[in-house]
Amino acid sequence: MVSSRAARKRKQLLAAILGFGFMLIVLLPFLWMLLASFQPEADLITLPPFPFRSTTLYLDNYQIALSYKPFTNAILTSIAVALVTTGLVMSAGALGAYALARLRFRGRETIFKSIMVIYMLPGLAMLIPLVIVMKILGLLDSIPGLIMAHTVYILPLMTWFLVGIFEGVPIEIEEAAQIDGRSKMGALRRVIIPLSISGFFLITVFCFVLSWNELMFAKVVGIFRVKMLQPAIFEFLSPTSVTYSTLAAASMISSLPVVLLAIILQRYIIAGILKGAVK
Amino acid sequence: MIAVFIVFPLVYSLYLTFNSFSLRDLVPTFVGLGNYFKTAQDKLFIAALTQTTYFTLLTMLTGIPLAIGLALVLNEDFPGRTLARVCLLIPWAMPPITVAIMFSYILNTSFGVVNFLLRSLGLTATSITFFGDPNLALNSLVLINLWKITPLYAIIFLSALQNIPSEVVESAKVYGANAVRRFTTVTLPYLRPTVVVIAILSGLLSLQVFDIIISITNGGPGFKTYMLYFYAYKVTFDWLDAGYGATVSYIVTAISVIFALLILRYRRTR
Amino acid sequence: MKNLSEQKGTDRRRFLKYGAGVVVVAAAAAAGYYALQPAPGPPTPTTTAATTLPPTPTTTAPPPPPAPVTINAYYPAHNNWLASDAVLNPFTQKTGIKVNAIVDSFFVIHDKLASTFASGVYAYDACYAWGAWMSEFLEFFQPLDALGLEVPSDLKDDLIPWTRIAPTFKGRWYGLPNAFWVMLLHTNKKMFDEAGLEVPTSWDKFLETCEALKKKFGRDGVYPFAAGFQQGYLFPHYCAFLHGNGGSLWANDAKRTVTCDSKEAIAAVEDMITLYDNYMDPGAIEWIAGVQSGKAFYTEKAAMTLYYPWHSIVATKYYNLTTVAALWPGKKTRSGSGSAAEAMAIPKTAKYPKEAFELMKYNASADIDVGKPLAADDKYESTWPIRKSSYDDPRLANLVYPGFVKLVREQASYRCTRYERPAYQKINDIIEAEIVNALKKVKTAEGAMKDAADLIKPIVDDEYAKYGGGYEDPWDTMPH
Repeated sequence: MVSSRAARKRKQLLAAILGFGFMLIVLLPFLWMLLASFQPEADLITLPPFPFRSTTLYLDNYQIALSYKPFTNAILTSIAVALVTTGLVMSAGALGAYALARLRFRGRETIFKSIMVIYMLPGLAMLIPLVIVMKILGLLDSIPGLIMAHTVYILPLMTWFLVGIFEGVPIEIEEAAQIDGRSKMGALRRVIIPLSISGFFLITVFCFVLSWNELMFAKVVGIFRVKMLQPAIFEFLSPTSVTYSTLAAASMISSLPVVLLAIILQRYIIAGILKGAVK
Repeated sequence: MIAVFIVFPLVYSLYLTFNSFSLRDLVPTFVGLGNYFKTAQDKLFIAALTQTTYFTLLTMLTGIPLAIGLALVLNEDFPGRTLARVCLLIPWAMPPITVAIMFSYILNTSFGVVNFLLRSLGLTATSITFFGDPNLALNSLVLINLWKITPLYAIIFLSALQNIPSEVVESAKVYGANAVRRFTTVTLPYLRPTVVVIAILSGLLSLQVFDIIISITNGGPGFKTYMLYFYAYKVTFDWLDAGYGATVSYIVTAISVIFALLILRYRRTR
Repeated sequence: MKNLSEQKGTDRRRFLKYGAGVVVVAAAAAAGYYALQPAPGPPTPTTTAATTLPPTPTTTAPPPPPAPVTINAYYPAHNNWLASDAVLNPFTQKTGIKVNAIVDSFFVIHDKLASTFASGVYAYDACYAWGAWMSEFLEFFQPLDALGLEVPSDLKDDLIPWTRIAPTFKGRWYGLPNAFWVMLLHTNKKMFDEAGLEVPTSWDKFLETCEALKKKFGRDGVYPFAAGFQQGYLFPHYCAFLHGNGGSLWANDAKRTVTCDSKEAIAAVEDMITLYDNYMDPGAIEWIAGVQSGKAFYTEKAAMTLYYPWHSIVATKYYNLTTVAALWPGKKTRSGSGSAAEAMAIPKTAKYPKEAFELMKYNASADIDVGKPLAADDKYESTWPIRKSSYDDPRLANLVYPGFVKLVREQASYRCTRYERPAYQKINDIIEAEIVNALKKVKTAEGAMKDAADLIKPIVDDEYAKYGGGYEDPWDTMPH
């Protein structure tokens, strides 16, 4: 019908406008900071704000930020911790989630509930005792210590998600694979994970992002020898200069990996979520 | 090993709440339930509690409708939709500190662009101190929180929307219901479970707001942006009173657990 | 097909096996990684040289020199000149002690110290100690007398008395001071000349000056006075106003009751409100003290500011301003700027306390002391001398302008303290929060300070029960 097509077009237009508006709201602050990171400090703190004047590209901010040794160390540390944590969490989580999803044994429900509850705990409640435990084990202020802390912090939530994902895989396919002679472990690797790859991917990315963005544990466990990225940004504030220019550059650098991850993997992530990975 | 890392801290934390334990001397002295009684009389704790509740409710009441609206928009096919969907992920992915610095710069009183525009367009005479005004500060934080998580909720609502069987929608159209009618009678009921889950989840997450507070307002102005989790951190690490800090964080835990059980119970009954 | 119960059993075993396997692998990986890390901290002095010498007659062979010791020293960013090679290399040459200087922004130091001390790891041999935090972190430091170390008497006599508060608690020494600050009123000479004004010497004149400056320069964005009133940074300013009104931070009872609801304290807050309402940028409530207020002063958006002396140095060196500094024109006395002293102290976990003490003595030596303000430039923020004699040193005579250094010394002779007590941070936070409430008209000055007093009372009681009160007020106990 003609009228419905016109109505459809109108609806599309409205959606496009609103969608575009939404995009603006999301992107504008980000772009603003991006532009700010290329301005010298003086331009950032006078009115009118810099885009309303002639804009020149000023690369020194990044150079200053990157030449600050503790900052670059912090970046590397964060990368290392995030990667290893993701690896650990995904392996342990996959196995644990598989067991919880598929295997039947006594106490399954209890473990499931307790994982849920553990996730709910605010990190702070565990922080000081965790610190003491790590002190005894000598892991404090070390990269393995940070990895342990992040793993403990992230693992419960990831396991819970993975259980949901694995439960979404039809059991018949898995049984078929087993009849073909594969062990349970093989079934996990060859059948379940490929079938739930988008959800799996999503959780992996989620895990990396959580570790990268994490502030509280990084601040407390990484004390002296080990510096993590998020607390390191605080160090660009000194009593004589809150230089927004270097702060902006540092912020951009610190959000670069996660934003890139989000953009590159957006297809998998959104597909994963839309497939009901998050119930 | 996981047990060591999780169970022991839990139990020890609980033990700490019954002690007055200072980070200074690291020697616990037993005070029984004294710490818990203290919270009832502690004006700052009550302020934190009230403000956390306000923050949570405001986020929920504005965030969920916004997220639903967003999801509806993105459900339609329009050019650039994929790009818009990508944008959904960016606020959530960005580190909280970056978000905080970003907004504190944009909303800055002296040279922030928002104030500049407001004044140039004649909407306000003097700059608004978004984070310095006791009445505005908490709301500004809510704004930042909304910016960060509404897109994420929108994705979840989007998936819920796409799970609505299309026959139902089609039959409603055939019956001549207009868009608004369709929404209220058909879409909403399907969305209700998701709304409930998101509401509870939102409550849970709001309890743990910390990064933006410590980066921008640090609890100020006055005590207006003190929230429970932040208060626990401040008591423990700034005022070196680990016993009381553990108490506060346990109360937060207890509330979180209630929320968590709600989600579990709700899922069970579906 | 196995039967169901066997299946269950197998499953459980499988689960445990896999779970344990993962845990074991993870642990092994972590252990391996950890083991591969280079040994942390400074190398312990070895005596391998002695043990690997061939067994020649030891009576003739001289003892081998000990391997060089490296100590960890923790500096704040605003004192980073002391952490520079220019200062540390001569020290290493003279004593053979290498210094690994760790520098952190002041804003992160408190948390860092709290975490480090709570965790008990070895981190520093010579550690930053600030007057107020000395009392807070007292249990983590060791007193010098317990280490058999003594403060050189010539230094003790030469110290500006106020600086003693930094490394001591109730008369016991834990380290040595290395930095000192007072607040001054800085004025922009050009703007004053244009308005035909003189630097005010009393509070009434100060208000008149503000009024005149406002009339002359009152266009948008230019204000008579700038100060950082953000919560978290305004306490030193409060001290200035309080002491200027003749008030005191605490009563002289045993508990050292906080008198933030005294007449003088309320008057101080009312003065702050007067300035904020009429003569300051409203955004100042979000300004970090010194940072943004300094920028306003340097870019001539404000004609006057109240802060540490280096504002004048920076303004002169980098912004080509001519400044004239003055004592704070308090209502009752010329005194009342908020002061601070910083020190280095020796934590209990230090590995090389004696070497750390050598570094502290070196930092307090006359040449280094004089060098501090001279070193202030765009790379080094630096601080002010702790020795009375340094202020007479000819090298400082023309710093900024003749007489500037004498002015700093004079301000130091007036009453200016903060809280040097264990509950400092808590009291600080509460008072600042209430002052902001007053500035933003949520409460009246009187109401706000009375509320603060109510909140602080239980804290002081707790503190007294634990530490016994009686904290030192240098103005009561020391000559100036």
